[in-house]
Amino acid sequence: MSSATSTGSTVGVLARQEIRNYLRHKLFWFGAALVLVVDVVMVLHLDDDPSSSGSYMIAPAALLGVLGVVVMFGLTRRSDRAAEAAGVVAVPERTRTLALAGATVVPFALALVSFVAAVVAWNVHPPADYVVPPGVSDTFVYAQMFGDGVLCAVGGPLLGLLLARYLPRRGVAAVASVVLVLVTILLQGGLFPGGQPYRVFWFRTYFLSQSIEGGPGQHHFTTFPGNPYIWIGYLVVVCALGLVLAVRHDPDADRATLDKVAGGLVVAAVALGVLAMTVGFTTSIVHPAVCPTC
Amino acid sequence: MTTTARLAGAWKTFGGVPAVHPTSIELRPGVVGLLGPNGAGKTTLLRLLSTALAPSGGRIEVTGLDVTASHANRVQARRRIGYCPQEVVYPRGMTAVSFLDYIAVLKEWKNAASRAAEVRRVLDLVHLGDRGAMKVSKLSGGQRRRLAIAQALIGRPDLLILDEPTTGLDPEQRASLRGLLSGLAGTVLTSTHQTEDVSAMCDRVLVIDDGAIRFDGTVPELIATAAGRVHLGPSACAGAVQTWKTGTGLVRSVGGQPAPDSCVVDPSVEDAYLLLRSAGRTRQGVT
Repeated sequence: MSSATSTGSTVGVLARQEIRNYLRHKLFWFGAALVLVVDVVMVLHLDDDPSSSGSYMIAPAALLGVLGVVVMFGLTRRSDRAAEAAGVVAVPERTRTLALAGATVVPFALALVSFVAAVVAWNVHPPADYVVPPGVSDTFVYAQMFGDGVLCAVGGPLLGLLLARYLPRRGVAAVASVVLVLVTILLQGGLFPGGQPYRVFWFRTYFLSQSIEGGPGQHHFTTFPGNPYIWIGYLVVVCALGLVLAVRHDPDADRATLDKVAGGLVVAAVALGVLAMTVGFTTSIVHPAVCPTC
Repeated sequence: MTTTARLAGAWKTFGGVPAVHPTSIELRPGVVGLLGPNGAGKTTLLRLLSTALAPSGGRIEVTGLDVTASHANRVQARRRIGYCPQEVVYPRGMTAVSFLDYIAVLKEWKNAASRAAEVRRVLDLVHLGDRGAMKVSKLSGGQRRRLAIAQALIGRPDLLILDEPTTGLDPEQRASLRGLLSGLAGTVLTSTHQTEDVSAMCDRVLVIDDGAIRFDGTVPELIATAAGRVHLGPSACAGAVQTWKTGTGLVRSVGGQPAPDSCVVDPSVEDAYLLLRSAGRTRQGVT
């Protein structure tokens, strides 16, 4: 075979292609456009939200993360079909998997812009006095924003990649997206009063919300138990575990080594998850002031 | 002449059922046709040679590399193999160029400029140079088939394996493909049901039936096996393998006892193939 002039690694070249494919995906554009609209509303404080940008990171989580499950699932199936069309190629599946994972830089970058915008908005238009309970720092809020928004925007596409590797069937990504949203709703802080520390295992977790106890006109803002700093570490490890498992799908991969790495990541995830539940606030902190606008 | 690929007692079973019996063949530069009925093991044999499928036993070498020995050898061999599967499901939303460009990356063409030039080259080879910007879904069946062949041609492989490449091509496209394949420098192994393709372009022909190679030789040698066994006359020969009325009103009989007033005619590859198949069925006790 004639020599193909070498420029960079194959995974790098392939990752650039997948990044372009991600950027061209219509569903990504739909989500990205809405995220940017939300960013503008947030930064300009057009809705006069008393909690400032505290809850805005749901936009990248839903519009880049949840939709990213579908986007990445589709890109992975497309890559698989191309490889199948070629019959045999020198580049293994794991290289394509890594390149696809590299394309998560797209939602990551956009979510990072949203995160920076949220931090700016938090400082330019600070939350009302009755929003953040005493003892809760700005960095606590930033940590939950980062985990809720930026890491979920990456985690969604990685979940799509993992599903496409192990369950490459039509509709799987859509069903997974619906399940993600439903479980997230069920695990909202206010709906889960008895076991609030334990819901921190979930990928999008509310740390700051309105208490619904006390009836109308009696609502208080509440910070739920859990440690968002450690929770970020937990999310990063879960994302890494998803990637390792996706790479492991390649029958020619070094599965013995990958199994050891996956095992280590599972241990780390469990440890960080338990720590995120038990270190930091162990009970809800209810703001003493009643929310006059709730 | 150097050997491009070699099967040494290679065999394959699926769930205990043999798909390819222990087979030993050597492939050298030239066009080799693989004939056989549906389910004979053609695709399995091609997939074994392409390294897409691991044999249940035996050894397979491609360009001197024992692909059954190690994964590294398989990867090395894949760099020198072009394979066009029988059925290709294309990725959605891609144009012909973007599809080939992606495949070229998977074949380790890392430099964008040389990759683009290679994609243009193979598109021109299959006469799709003016369809590069079209979505694959908008191409006709024949054009999609040619696109599948184009991807196999990327990188000028030493061993080109084509699984029924002429399916869906019109006579002009088939003739064009013959011209292309016969002009290639390396080894081409192509399975087909079109016996005229074999007689038109193949240096060598393999006939596979029931997972075993029944014939291995040149086209004239294959035709010679039917010499004196094909007749043309007013009526069919008794016991003929196949008979049909020709456009002249006379009946062509392949095999069987010569009918009165019939005369021997020159056999074709198809006649020889039909007789080989008949012999195979007789061997298996099938009538």
